[in-house]
Amino acid sequence: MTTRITIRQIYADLRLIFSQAMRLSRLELLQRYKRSVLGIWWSLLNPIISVGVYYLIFSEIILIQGFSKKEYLIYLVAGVVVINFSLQTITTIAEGFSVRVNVITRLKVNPYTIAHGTLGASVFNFLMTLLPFFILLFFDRGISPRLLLLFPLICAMMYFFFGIGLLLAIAYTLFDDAKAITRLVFSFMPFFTPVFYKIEQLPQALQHWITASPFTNFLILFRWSIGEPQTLQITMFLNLVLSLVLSSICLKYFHIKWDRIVKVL
Amino acid sequence: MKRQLLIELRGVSLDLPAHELRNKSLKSLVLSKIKGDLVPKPARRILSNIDLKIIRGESLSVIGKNGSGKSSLLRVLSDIYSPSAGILIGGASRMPLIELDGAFNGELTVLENIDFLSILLGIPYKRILPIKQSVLEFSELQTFAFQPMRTLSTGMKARFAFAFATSIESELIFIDESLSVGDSQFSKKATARIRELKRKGVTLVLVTHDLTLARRFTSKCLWLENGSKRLYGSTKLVIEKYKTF
Repeated sequence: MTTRITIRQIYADLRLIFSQAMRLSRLELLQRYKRSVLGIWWSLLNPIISVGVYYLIFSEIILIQGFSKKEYLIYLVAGVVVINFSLQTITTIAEGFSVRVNVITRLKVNPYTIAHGTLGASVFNFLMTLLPFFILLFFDRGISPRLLLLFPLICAMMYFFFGIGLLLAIAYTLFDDAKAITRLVFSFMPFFTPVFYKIEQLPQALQHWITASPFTNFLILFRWSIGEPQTLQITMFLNLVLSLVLSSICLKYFHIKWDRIVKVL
Repeated sequence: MKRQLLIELRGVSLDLPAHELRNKSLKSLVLSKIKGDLVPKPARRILSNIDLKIIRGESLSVIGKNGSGKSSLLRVLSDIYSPSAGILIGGASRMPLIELDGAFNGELTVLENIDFLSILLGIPYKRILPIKQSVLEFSELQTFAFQPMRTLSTGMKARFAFAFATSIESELIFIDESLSVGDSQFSKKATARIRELKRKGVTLVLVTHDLTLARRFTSKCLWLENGSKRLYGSTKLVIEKYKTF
């Protein structure tokens, strides 16, 4: 017997997934900031403090070349916002399963529902941090039509982080030190991504490596979308497609491994 | 009336990864690979070749010593673990109550926890409000609705878990040693609710060490030993044999 999948059914399923993700994200945010004095505003303050510290170090002490102070501030904020979103989303999705081990081993749950909730909470935090940034941009250069490209770009980023996060979730479950290793690697990531500097300022050999990173690619496309003078190359779009393919492979691998994860948990 | 099969296990076995794997570090894995002394740890066999049929409206108890595989069998029946061998047939809606009080989120309030668990179980938003009312009323936790879960006592959490699991509409309910929750008054209430569910045709699978409970609520009994089926039959008969063993 074959089951016909109708468009109405797909729409209903997507609506349910979206609604569940939204509700779970709300609870995730509530839980995350419940014991914090500033509550949800901490997600806004955190990047502002980071940007302030980096700005002081790189514009006043190390003196990064090729920018005016205002240009550098916008360049830096874009970098910090994107790299924070990238690393936090991947880490929280990966940790989501070990944090919820008690639920996973007691109830039949859909692992993707858990991950969607975590992803939704991270996206909410990201949008919170984008708000003051866009106000800054609006007063500096007005609204660029390129901003419309941010929507597909953020969707692509979400898909990529989702896949990588789930892949890391497998590692976190199987290996006790995977979390510590990831934290170490991720602490260097802002320095291996052009968050504070321009990629052209690096030696040629290093440029190839840094450009190959999906994080760099997302960051360059993000900066281009907000109207920064970035040079786009065809390889960037190839890199983007490759990232999405890689994420799909990760998702498939997670799907195969999920049963084992539950048993190890 | 035709006896409707809800779940059937055919030759089901369950292997879980050896415990040592949980403490495995990526560092030691890489080092062992380099040294060439990587020995794969054999999986532990938890359940072995289980055949079982659960008929709609019937109630089943699972008995056996600690470590005999009772809770793991419940997890297989609840579709939390998939069998390593054999097949599980049946798509009935199932609500497991396996130490559910451990599944709560301590930071969220009682009401938010109902939301949290309902979302994870895929319950649509419209159906959550009546569940909230039912859970609060049955567990007598109305005054604690906005308190964080971590502030509740163990007995309160157990009452909440029982109320939640029995407020969700399902064809099958799995209960793991949780009927003796709370004080004697609540225990009576819990017993009455189980009876009510049985009257409504909900199938009950009870994992317990309490043979009186098994006798009172179930007509069929499965005796597990070292993950294998030792005896299956009417509760009275199986318990008699179990007692003399």
